Amino acid sequence: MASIRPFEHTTAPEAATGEAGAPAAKALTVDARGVSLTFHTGDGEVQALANVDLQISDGDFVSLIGPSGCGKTTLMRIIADLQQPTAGTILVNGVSPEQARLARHYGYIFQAPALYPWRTIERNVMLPLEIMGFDAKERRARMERYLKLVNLSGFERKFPWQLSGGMQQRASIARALSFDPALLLMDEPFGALDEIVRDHLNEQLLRLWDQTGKISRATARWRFARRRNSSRSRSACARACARAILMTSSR
Amino acid sequence: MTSSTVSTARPAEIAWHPAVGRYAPIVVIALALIAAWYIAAVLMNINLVRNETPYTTAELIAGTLNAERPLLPAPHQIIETFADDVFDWPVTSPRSLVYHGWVTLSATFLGFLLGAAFGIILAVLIVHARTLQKSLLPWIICSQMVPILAVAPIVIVVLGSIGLRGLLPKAIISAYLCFFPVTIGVVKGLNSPDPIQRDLMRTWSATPGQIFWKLRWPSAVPFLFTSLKVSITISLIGAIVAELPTGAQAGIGARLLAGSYYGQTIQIWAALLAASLLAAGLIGLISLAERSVARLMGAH
Repeated sequence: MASIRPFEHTTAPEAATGEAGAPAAKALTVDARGVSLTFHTGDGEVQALANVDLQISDGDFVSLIGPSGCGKTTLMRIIADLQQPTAGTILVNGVSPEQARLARHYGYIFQAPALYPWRTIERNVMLPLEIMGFDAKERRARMERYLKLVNLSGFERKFPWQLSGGMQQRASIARALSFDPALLLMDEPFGALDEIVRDHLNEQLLRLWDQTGKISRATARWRFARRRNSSRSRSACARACARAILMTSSR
Repeated sequence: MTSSTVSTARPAEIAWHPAVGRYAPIVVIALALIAAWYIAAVLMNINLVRNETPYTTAELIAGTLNAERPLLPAPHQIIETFADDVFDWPVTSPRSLVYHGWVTLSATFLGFLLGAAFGIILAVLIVHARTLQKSLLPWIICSQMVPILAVAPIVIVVLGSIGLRGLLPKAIISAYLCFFPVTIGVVKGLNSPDPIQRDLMRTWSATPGQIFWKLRWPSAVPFLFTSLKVSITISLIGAIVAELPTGAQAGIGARLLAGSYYGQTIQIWAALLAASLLAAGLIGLISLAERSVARLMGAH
């Protein structure tokens, strides 16, 4: 069972987005009210989420933190319509998660890079663009732009196995960014990497948030949601995000 | 000290050519098998030549290895007959093994193509419709339990009665045997993408067609080739079996049957040699295709 409460967090640098200040002024990217999820398993019911309220506004960089098994992944999967809640309502950009998914609002980055091994890095980055029907010229332009953003220019023709784990994860970030999703969900994106690479990528991610915000200011605001796995890395999280949300387990 | 002293301190190693390490085990086993074969040929054929009152043991052994209708022909007899049947007759002659080999091979190819296509289609249906998995799979498994030797004459007779003779009935029997490994392998391959890879497709709200062509099918390709290698040898066996009940007109199966009618053991063995060479060649072809496809798909 998990419940959620806002984590009073003020150490964020100038990025204090003033979510308490003028909530009405900003559109809500995620608006979850009373969301619960109960799994029916062989040995009884398991409550993964209980009565979760969560509001994330436009342009926020939010981290979900908490002990393992408290439902962070489940909550993100519900936001992304990879799982359906058994109770409660959730709106993403004002519509249901399914409608948001069909409108391709989500970029989802998993713990593993999950690049398709038979595709080169460039074709992996262009895969969502192919699926979404971007024309060939636009696909190539975006692929080049986002591979440059994650410092992978020059690796276009390599296959995933020829890259290190950190480079693969960066390629998967480029893939998630390539179609300008309204909401970027990252599920322990650097969890499988070692401490040094992880810190480095965290810094890159912050810069990315900064840059992409600038890139797309004219068109759409970037909305980030990400999570960190444990309370131990709360300090790292404090550096990396504008707002952290602590989820607790009452199991 | 210097590197030279280090290297001289090591025990001297014999510098094998890499090919030696690679092929030596195979050659040793082959030589051992051939030796065992010769011994077995002597022992099995000895009763055939004893009546001919040879004078010495050497003549006795020579007699066992050169008998006209031996129980077990010696390897050199098989190779002699094989070479004779392959090279000494025009390829259109019914005495030529090349002619019979081609008859069987064409049925094998057609049967393999039909069987592989059918197997893949079945696998796609099974993966996409749960009800089909429940309703089709038991029948597919049962189909492989029926002894093909019993089914083949029925198929030949039934198809013959509606005017289908020659290549097609044989190909159908061959296809009947060889679709099964393809279906099983491709079902496994189409289901092989891991959950994260599928979730990605879902977050991009890909259509079922896109999921199939961009995720499931590429994932299934390695499984497909493994199945095809099994399946092409089975389809050769199917083609040979299908030639048995036709009254042995042409094909390697016909050669086998004719050989057993007339007690021509050497001819049977030569036909067997031809069949195994064909099978090896066919597997080689699939492996070649597999390797070039794997290179395109970034295998290392």
